[in-house]
Amino acid sequence: MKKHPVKTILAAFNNSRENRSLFKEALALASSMRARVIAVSVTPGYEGNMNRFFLKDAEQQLTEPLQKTLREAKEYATSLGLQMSTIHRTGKPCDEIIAVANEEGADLILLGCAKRLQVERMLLGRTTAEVIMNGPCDVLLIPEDAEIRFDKILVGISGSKASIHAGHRALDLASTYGGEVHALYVTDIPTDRALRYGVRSDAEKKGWNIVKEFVSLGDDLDVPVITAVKGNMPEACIIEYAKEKGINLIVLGSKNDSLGFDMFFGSVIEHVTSRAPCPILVAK
Amino acid sequence: MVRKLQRLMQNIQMINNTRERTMAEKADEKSIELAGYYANRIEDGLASQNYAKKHVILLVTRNGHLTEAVMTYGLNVAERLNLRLLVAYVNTMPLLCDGGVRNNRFAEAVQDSIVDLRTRARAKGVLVDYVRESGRVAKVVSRLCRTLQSIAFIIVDKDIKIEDVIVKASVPVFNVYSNEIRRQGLKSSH
Repeated sequence: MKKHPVKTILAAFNNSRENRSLFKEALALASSMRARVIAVSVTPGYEGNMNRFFLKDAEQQLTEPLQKTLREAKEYATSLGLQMSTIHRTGKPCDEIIAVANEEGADLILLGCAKRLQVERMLLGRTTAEVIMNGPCDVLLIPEDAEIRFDKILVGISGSKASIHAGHRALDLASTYGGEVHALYVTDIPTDRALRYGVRSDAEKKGWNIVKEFVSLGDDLDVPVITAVKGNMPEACIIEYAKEKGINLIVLGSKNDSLGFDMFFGSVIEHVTSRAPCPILVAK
Repeated sequence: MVRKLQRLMQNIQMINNTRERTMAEKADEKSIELAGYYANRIEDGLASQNYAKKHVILLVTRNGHLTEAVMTYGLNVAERLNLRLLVAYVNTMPLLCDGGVRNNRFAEAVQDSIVDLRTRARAKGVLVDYVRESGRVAKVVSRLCRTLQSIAFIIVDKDIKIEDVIVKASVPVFNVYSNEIRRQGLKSSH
């Protein structure tokens, strides 16, 4: 199995409450991975005229708090004797974050978790979803005040290419940090089909076969793998399982193409992000 | 005429030679400058690495200032063991709705405390750094332990439950009680 070394961590944050300790977690993670940290903050591009609202220097007023946050982050790192470079950009946040990640050759992007409803996401924009979809590397989403640990890693296995890739990443992390992996297969069957005889048991059998293959991969790396097959909505199952077992990290696979209905109903990742109690790693 | 041409040719050659020399000299100067710049950068990097490698005593307080007992003890131990001090001022109520009064007072108290500590540390030749944190003390300690591999041990100030910190810390944790508090404790136990 191919190892995935992380040399550069890109922590993208704004001055909201959810992102208050993001750069601190980035430093802690970088310290354990011996990686360099780049903090990036993006002022949303504004082309309107704020003078009519009696706001002078609108750009300055939008930029100043973000630059202050970056300065504070740099001071914090310096006072700990660590190094952190900071970048400030103006434009569309997701595009700028991806551009910086490409320029700097980032191996991991850290983002805060905004616990929004689907309606809020539709109205306020889906920066996280777009960075996940178009970004060049893995994305780690950290909820407010969550701690990055790799003791208990939950991975959602569905048999797809993306989920297998996520499984590999989970095993890689668990073998590096000495953790255990929980592999969860969710049989997502529509209600009309679920009522038919044998459909559920067939789906469960298929799930156990996929999980068994994953266990053999874990055995090769001497990583303990705990398995479970459940039937319900994938996001609800993942969150319930994470809460029940005290999971430290959820690893999910990312598909590169987005379907139209994801925009209106949200993807599994977005639903998990909005309710998860622990960080979520989206493997690419 | 031929002689004139020969002289002219010689002059042109001389000029070219001097030009080449000046170009070479300039290139040398540039390379020396660059070498100096990179040497400085390497030195800075090594200095910061050495600085980061030097072990740290972490002092943790949830008030805006360190108590006298902890400050004195921390400085004495750091001097004796040749370690540097890192003080974490933890604001445990960052979201208190008081119009930012508490946060401002906390920041002022931190400034006063650090100036006082640095003045004392200078006399003893101890390096002092500080970080302003917010949230739960145990979480802050856990994060700092993960971030800094060079923490030797932790000293917590009064008003912090040592049991909470011990659970999250990866290094030994101590508290310093002043004689007064100890006497009070002894009195209450009798």
